[in-house]
Amino acid sequence: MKIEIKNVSKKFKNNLVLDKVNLTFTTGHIYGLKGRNGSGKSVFLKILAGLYIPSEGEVLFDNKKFNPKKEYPPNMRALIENPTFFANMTGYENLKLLAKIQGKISDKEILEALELVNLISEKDKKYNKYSLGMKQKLGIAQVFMENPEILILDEVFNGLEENTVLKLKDYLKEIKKEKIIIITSHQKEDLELLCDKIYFFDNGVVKDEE
Amino acid sequence: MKNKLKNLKGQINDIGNFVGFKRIGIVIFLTFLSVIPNVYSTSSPNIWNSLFELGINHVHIIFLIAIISYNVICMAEATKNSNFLIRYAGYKNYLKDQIKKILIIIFLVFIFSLFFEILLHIIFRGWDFNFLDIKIYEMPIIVYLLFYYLRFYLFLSLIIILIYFLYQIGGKILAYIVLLLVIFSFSLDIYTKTVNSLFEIPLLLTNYFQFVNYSNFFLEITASFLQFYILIGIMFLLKYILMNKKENIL
Repeated sequence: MKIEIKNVSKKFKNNLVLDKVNLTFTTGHIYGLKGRNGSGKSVFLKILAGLYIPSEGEVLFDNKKFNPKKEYPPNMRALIENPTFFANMTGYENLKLLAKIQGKISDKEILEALELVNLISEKDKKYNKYSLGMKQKLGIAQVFMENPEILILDEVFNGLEENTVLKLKDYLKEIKKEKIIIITSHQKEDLELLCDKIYFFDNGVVKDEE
Repeated sequence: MKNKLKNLKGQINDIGNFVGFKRIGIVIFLTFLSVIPNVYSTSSPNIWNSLFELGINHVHIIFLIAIISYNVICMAEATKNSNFLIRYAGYKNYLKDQIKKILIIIFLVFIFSLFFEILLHIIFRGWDFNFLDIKIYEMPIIVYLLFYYLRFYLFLSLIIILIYFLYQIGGKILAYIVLLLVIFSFSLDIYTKTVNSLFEIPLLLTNYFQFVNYSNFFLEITASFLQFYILIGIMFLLKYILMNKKENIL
């Protein structure tokens, strides 16, 4: 799989958030996106996920352009900004509801994803009783559970305890061979230890850092 | 059939999750309350006549539109996020799935309202199920009721879907403004003229939620079809705008 971002710009009224971004992502790599708040990282990820439409330029998946109004890029899962779940349902029920949309996986995969993020013991707790870190874990679990080919993880390690962070880092390294993983993080060390390539976002302009 | 029922049960369960089971209980309770005034104000002890009066009771209709629209907007808000959206094959599929659920919500509220009307009528007014004595267009009232309630369900569904599309195009405020305008239109004058030709057919949507005197049944069917196509036309236009506007999905 190859994702090519060609001359992508994004404007909100007169505010240019992304300026002619050109990037390529290929299978087998973990990519890191770095930059201060408001540098355009999340907007870029939303364009990649098909949730924002670029003002200019195009995004190609294996040389194919997708019109997100009609077709989302296949086999992609994302954790972008704060994930939204149903407050009146348990963590497990929330994942089950999401899994039902495509109907590709069974309870086993859902439980494995919860286990991976160390949330299995809290799976029957209502979402509105979850702490910030637990909410983040559930957001990560919904990304992993269907074994997607493209993983978008925005500020993935936010609010997580050390042992979960280490477990996730190991897991990401283990699965990267068959996937494209794109991560953003405020922690420089997280990206440097984990990523094969890091891009630096500065006022909508992307610089190759390594 | 068994699979279809299972599928429907699953869809109802999803709706319950999207809008909240507690809120669905409240909706059913409010539907029950909205039927009570009609049972008291109905002029006839006949059940079919009472059902007909419910179908033209504007307070009841306003309630149905308001409560269903509110819940549909809540469902749309709850599912319009990256977790949900990118799991569908495309935005179009997401909309299709939502519309399916909207039609089920409307159907449930509609069926509950009829059920409560029949139940309360039997309790407070007695057991008069005779449909042969009351005739509309020289046919038994039950035949006209079937036509009237089919049209009622179709038009109600189209109004709610239009409001839903407006929410997707312009957001919550636009949807609520249009909802208020629809509600306001029910307070406009009732059409009292007899319709004798196609040139006299009422154009205001609310006239199809009341009894308008047509010179014959065929003319009423024709007028209903025209209104139906107008609504379908608006719906496709809104869908076209939604699918082609160059703005973000989220």
